[in-house]
Amino acid sequence: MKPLLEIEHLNKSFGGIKAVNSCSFIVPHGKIVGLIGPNGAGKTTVFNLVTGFLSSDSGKIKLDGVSLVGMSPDRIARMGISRTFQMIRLFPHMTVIDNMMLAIKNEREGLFDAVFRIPPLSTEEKHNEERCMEMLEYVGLETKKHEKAKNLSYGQQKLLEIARALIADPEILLLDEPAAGVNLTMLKKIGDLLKKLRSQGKTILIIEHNMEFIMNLCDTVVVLDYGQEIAVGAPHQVRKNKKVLDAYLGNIDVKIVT
Amino acid sequence: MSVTAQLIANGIIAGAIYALVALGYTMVYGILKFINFAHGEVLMMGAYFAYTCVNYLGMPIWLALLVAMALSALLGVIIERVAYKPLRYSGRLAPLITAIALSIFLQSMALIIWGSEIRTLRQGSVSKGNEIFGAVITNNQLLIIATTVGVLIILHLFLKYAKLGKAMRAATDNLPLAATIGIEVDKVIGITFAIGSALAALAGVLVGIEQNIEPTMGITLGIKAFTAAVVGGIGNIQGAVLGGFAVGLIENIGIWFIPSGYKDAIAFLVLVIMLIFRPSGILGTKKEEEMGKTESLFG
Repeated sequence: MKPLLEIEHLNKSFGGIKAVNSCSFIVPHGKIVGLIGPNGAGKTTVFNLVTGFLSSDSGKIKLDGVSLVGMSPDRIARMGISRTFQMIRLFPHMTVIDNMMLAIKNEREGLFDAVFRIPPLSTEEKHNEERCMEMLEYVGLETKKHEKAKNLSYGQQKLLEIARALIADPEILLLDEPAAGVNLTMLKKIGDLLKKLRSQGKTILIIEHNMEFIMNLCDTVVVLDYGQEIAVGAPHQVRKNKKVLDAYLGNIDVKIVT
Repeated sequence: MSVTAQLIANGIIAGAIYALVALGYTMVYGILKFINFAHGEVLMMGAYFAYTCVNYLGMPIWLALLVAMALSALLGVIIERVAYKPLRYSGRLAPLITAIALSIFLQSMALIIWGSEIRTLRQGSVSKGNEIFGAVITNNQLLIIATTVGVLIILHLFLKYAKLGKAMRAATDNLPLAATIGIEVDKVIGITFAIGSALAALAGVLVGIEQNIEPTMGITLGIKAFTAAVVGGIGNIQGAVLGGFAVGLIENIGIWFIPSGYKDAIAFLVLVIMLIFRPSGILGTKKEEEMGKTESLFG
């Protein structure tokens, strides 16, 4: 079976710095792949290239065999790639439910339809709202429906961001440090949520610095250093890889031994 | 008749027009962060469209207004697609210069098509006017106020409840994020231009009914409405309405204190004072906040 996401010899320079340097890896269907590496290794840049926010200098990005190079970010999103950000990005002045509703893809949306798409008037919109409520219940935010996004706690905002990414029913979910800055309870909740998603056949690519979280969760780990993959493999293989230890894991190997 | 009441009434009437036009500036700025200086010319074209419908096609004025609004909306969308969209990632200066070129182009076009004579959409003889709270207001002026208030309410409901209205607010708040979650950015921008241009055409027709139509009418009206948008806080919808009425009132009450020949200068004085003391406008967000939004985009 063809991999869901294929990245081949991807390059991106900022001035003289090669942020992404002939990077290649794949994300198979239904797996959780971890993208790790030291700060500045080019992980978020890879995300920005895949989602179309930066255009690559050269290289291939394919989703299910279809090239994404040159597509606009909103088109790529509608192709089935959802993402979250390192720094949470929501529409802070909008309600939780509106934040969710905006991310729903509508089938065949005509102009007239879009202008007059007001919940009490449109059955499809009602149906969408029900779907959003189910998703909010799934992440435990159903009571916050009419709360403005800015009034949620940090952890709740993080969950809302993931819920918003999921409501678009993506082929693949790109998560940029979902565990950063959340407490242990929330961390476990997010981990369980991701495992549950995988059991439902979802594909996830995740950037994370929390090694324990990554090692417990991922099927495959891709290690980036200076914009290039230096190791790819199962978590237990990667953690023994000499190059990886040198580049990145060396400073926490004490933790791994214990 | 009380002079104060009359000046306030005149201010509200002028303010209604400025508010309609200011909305177009502010909605486009909100999403694309650039000033569409050809907006005043869309207003002028709208007025001429209605004039043509009434005088050459024999339409009643209300139908002419609707046709003019539709044609102007189309014109706005074409302008965006042809002139601005190719420059969307070329910085702020290129589209600004293009906008100025466009406004000269549209003025010249109007001059070629309709000539330089002053036209009007005024219907019948000048009516006597009604005395309301001590101010004399004609039926046409009442129409201006009623239409503006009606349109503002519809726009408010659209932005608050309709899916597309919410998408417009989302794009205004954070355009890259809107794209990230799959909102069709091009469509939203197109609709924004369409709505802004239709509102400008409405203002143009109302001015045509109350006063005159000429190829240069978009310049002064455009700049005053731009002032209104800045005073209210550019990018902020409520601000544009507030700014529109503020500029209209200040301008008309101002001539109580200084010679009326300086009336047009008052708006610019307000603009200068505003830019010195509160550049973000009455309801505008602070600049730091806005910068943080774009700078830290990719964390």
